[in-house]
Amino acid sequence: MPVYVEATGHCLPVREVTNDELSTMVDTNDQWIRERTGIVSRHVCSEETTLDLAEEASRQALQQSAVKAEDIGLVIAATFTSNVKVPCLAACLRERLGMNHIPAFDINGACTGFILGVATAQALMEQMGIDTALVVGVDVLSRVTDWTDRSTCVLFGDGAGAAVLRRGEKPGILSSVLDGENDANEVLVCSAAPVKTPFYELDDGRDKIIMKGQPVFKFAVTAMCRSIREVLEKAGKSLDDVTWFVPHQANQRIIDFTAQRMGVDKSKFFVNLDHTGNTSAASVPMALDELNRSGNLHDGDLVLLVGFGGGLSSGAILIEWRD
Amino acid sequence: MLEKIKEILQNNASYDGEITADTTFEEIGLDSLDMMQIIMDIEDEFGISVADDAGLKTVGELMNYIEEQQKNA
Repeated sequence: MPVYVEATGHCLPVREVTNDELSTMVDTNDQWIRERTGIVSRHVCSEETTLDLAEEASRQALQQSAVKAEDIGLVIAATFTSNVKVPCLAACLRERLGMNHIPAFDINGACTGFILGVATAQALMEQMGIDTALVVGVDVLSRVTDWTDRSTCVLFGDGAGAAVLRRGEKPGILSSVLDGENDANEVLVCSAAPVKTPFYELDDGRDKIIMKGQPVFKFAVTAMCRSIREVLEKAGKSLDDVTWFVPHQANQRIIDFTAQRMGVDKSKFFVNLDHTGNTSAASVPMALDELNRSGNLHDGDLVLLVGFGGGLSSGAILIEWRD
Repeated sequence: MLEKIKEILQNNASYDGEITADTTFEEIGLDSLDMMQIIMDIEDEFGISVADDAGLKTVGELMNYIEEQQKNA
């Protein structure tokens, strides 16, 4: 039975940070940030945790869904900034939502995490006969951002997006492609926290996101174009068949150039990064939820999710939308 | 080759001044992401690969680089 997206939800933390506020912290200004990235504001966590954001996004999705929490058969959380290690975020989320006795695990695919999570969920659902799954993409980038580095701190925000997947009569997910290439030149890195034990100490000073903008731009556009082409070919569809492209919301310039290279009108690429910034694994599901709730998605529309991120990871999923 | 380069520059930047071999990318008003767009279109158009540290500052330098790369292909 095909797997389809049955409901979506999202959650942004309360505290909003505008470009003007960032201009008081580092040498930058609103105009520069808007022109270079398209970002106007972003949200950051105060006392909210990664788990709190994931819970709220999940509740929003379940509220929209005809599925009850106790009927969910699988929970996958895509994140690299969990506030809990053991139990993993997905397991803690399972408990918060009143579910039990179902598998729950985390995936680290950086910004491509949600797409990886959906592809994994679909495969498990089909392979193991699981009827419904909850997939969440959540990241609290504010806690791994160097807030003194103006080249990166203007880009990132916090958030969570969730989707309820269900097996049904009609598709659903038509095709998916996943890829990963080695980051030989360390263009997008973030180390684990410093080590300090009685036996060994290590602090490489790189436990914040470090990014080389130009090579990442080149990788992002190349990977997105390739993923779009491949996922469409796999489903026997064309660019014209796609109603909405929902790309990873890293930077307006990346999205615009991808649209330009593909020969697709920019307006078909759904964008909400102006008020979210780059929220890593939360980016695609938050955009999908906003698109879904805007009333601009209709039964039978083809929606193409496409992402890229640290790893270097990339992927795309083509979905026929069911209302 | 200059005509093709002008076309690529026009597609990726709004500049209506004259473009010659001596024109610098800075005076065209290209930021680093514009440069990446142009480099990617150049790579496609001329079938070459531009190294990350090529450090090209003028249209003339770009033309020389393209010729070099095409010779070595």
